[in-house]
Amino acid sequence: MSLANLQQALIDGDRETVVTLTHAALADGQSAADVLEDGLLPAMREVGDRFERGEYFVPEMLISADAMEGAMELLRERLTDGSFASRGKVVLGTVEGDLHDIGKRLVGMMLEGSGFDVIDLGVSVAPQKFADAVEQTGADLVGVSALLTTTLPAMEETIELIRKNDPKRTVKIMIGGAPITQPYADRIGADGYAPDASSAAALALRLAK
Amino acid sequence: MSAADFLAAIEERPLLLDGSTGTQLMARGLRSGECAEVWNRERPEDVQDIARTYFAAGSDAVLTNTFGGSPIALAAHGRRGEAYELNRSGAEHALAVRPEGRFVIASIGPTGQLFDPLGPLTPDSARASFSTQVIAVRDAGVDAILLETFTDLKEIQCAIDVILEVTDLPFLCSLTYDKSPRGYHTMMGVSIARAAEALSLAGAVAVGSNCGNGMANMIEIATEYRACSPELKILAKPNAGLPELRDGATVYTESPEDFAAHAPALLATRPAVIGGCCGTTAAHVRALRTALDNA
Repeated sequence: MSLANLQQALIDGDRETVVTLTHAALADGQSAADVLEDGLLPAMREVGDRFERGEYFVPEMLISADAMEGAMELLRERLTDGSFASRGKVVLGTVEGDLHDIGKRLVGMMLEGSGFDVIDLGVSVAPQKFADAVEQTGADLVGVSALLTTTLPAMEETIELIRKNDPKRTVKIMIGGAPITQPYADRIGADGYAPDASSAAALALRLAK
Repeated sequence: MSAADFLAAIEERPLLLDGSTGTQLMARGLRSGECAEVWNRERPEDVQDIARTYFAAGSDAVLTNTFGGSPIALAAHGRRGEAYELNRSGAEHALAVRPEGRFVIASIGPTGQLFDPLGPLTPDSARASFSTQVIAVRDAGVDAILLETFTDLKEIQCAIDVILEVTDLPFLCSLTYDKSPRGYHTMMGVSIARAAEALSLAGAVAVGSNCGNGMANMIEIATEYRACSPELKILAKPNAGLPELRDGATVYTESPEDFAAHAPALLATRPAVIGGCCGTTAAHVRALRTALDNA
């Protein structure tokens, strides 16, 4: 059974149809891993591409994320058998002193839509809390978000603290947000920078290899 | 002065707003993540001093320190119940230092929440939140209201509904746009053309943009607004460029001299209201004052 209709429904942000077609695909004998890998992930990549091209905006992204969540509710428990190769574990949060979360939310959904397991710590996350979460979850990647320039010192502290426990830099750190630039990311020792949620997911896939 | 005087003034000449309040509060010790509106109660001299400085620099109107004063936004600081008091006192501080012939405009920003189903906001909860703010600044006696830094038409319309219901105050609408391969849109997907049409229809005295962009982009935004309508009263309030962290301090990249250099191009779009947003100072306001007086 072709997953093209499922893909289109996800791109359209049509949760009801996504759920119906996910049911149908499973009933038809497709594995949860295949539905995710061949159906949902390519569709989320298209959603991300449209966002990068300025065709999709925050509402469209969130509606597609909601539709994907509808599918994941059906697929999740069937994926615990290890049939789906998770791309990795990502700890995500907005830096201490900063309450903005929409950008981080979009990054989280694009990461899930690219096959990562995401642990979202929320907003105004202290450097120690980031570091503890990395240790406790065995994360492969950390994503740190900031909208306010004034909170950038906390971002630097966060990176320092994570590196202290991981001098070999096995855990990859990526940063983003309105005041972040590539030169700044290079200067403070981040492993990567992305200007938006969609390219953040592409970056994460590269860093996770 | 009064609302009627404000409406008369905006008909006869471009009005100059102030510069950034947030940047000035931070220069006086406000820390990142702290609630700016609390200073209306705890640091009133500083709040008044900022307004006084902008009037002295040549602002025709200053904005009240109430931008984040919606009950919903204050709730994030555990201060939802203080909304009426903080908004009213914020307005009263600016009014206390308002010189003859100048104006005080209440600044009202978005709630920070997204509408259901993307978030917890509903039209009822949005209107209830804006209601407290609008009533408070109305009671204080401001001359007009500026709804600024909005990105969602539905949300700004809720604020407009409240204004029309509880006051006769003139109101201005300002959205924040991002530049993309498809032109300028807010992050929620609102285009300049759509905003111009919807908000002038809704009764806004002026429609425009603030924040998110420095002078160059703001000139493009104002140009696009002007292309939508020859008659539209346009508001343009750019940032002092984008902020950078240099030696641990936040530095905005566009200087007062940059503002002065760009001002003629901005004035060529015939704006009705101009000002400075994040990172701007009294020196930026003076640069714009000079440009306006020499135009």
